[in-house]
Amino acid sequence: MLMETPTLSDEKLNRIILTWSVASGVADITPIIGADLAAVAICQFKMFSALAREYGVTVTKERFIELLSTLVAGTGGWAATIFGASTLIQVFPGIGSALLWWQPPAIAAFTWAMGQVLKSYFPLVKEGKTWDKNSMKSAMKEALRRAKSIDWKKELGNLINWEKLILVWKSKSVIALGEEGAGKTTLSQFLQKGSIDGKYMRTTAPQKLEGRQFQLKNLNLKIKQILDFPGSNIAVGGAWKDSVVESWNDNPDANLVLYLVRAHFLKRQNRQTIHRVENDLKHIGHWLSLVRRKPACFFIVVTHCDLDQDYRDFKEQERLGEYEDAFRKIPVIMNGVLACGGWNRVKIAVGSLKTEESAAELVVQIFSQLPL
Amino acid sequence: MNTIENGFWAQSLDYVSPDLIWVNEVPITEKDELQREALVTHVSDVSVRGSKVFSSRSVRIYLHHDRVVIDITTSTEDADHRKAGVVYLVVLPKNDFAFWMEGVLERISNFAKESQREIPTDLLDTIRAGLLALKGKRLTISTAQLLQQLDQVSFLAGVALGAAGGFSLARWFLR
Repeated sequence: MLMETPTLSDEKLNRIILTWSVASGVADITPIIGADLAAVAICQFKMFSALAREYGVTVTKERFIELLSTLVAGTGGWAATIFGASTLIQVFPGIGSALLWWQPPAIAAFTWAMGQVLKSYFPLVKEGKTWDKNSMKSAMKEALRRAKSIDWKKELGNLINWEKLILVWKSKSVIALGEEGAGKTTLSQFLQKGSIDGKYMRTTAPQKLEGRQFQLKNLNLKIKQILDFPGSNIAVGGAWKDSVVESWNDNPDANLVLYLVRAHFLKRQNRQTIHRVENDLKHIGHWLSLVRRKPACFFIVVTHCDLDQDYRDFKEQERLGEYEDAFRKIPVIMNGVLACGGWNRVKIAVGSLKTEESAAELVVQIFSQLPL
Repeated sequence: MNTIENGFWAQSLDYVSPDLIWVNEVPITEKDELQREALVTHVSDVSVRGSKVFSSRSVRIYLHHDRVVIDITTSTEDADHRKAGVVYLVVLPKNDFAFWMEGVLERISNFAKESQREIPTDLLDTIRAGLLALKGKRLTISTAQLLQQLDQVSFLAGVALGAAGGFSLARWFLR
């Protein structure tokens, strides 16, 4: 019985090559010298074996040595490059930067070219022909011709799910605003460290805190940085405004603005708080009118709910939605929300920052309302 | 409005009274809202955009260009039993750093006395240690700028060399 030789699809081969080329470029970003080389070598070996499988060529000891010698030569080349780059960095840092920036795309291009050469190598090997300098040269010429004729935009577009990639890389910067004692620093520290020590000093100079990536329930959160502002009302018109407007103008969906307010002060209609919230939300509404592209949402975060007996009762009865609705109906919130574009733009979250568990619940409540 | 050479900001202890603001050693009342906001904006600009050059439990020092913000947590507690802060914005001197540093410490002591914020001697020593971290920073700034320019030039040179190398390689290969 004759075995049917599978038809080789050029499209499939190109996809394999392109996938591993991009992977090797990304692998090269590995920030540890040596580990990056190993990662790139693994990608190239994976491509080699995938192509060998497609051509039905067995990776024998002989061919493996052939491949290893290529890799050793490549490693030597890269070692020389790294040595040269590190020497040059000491004299002129820019040359080093140029090499570092150009290295990942260069590696990807090299891997792609290597894949194209393998497309000429494997048929020869399969036919039992010899592989010499001339075959290598003609294979490289063929690779160059393909590089010119290929529709890169289309090929890369087919290869990568950009939407998914963007989502993975999308991280948020958080700006915490609100009157004094509303919990801005507590929330900021929780986002930064995941813990609450309950002994915070009053924030005077605004703090820029490094973010982190962490998992809360089913949410994978990636926080780039947190800006913790003082609650003083003289910070509103200048410091708050500058940061919020600038960050919204920069990227409205990557900068999450949280306006914190104390539940019990709102419910008791504390005159100072009511005046402050009214004023602050009016300002935020005005800043929204100044930005080029408005954010999908910003948050009113009602904190200190643990001090409200109603909250504890509603929570026990799992009726937090009704408790939240009560805040939506408070006139100062209603008017403020109107000034900021309505409930489509303004989201609300209620909870407490008293313990790590309650803070986690509040953070989940905020982030799970973000549009994907 | 005066150019701000230096300024103090201390939040009110009772959360009701206005914050204390001094600009160029003169108290600024609520009537001059613009000047008060300007100082706070400058402080924010330095602490958010600048780099933190010193940090201890009670003192944080930020530097942005030639502007310095000293954020001090005093021993005085506010109505919420939180340690109250005092922020001082000042311009880094071009020379005579020691004289400038003593002047800064003296002005901080005076402000603390006037505003009834407690800054004990050991806290002043911490501030002094933090200020010493600023010594030579002015020179470092200009050196950094020079290096940055060199870096850009060498980056372009690197790109040009790389392109030339690639071109030669391609030519050799296509021969």
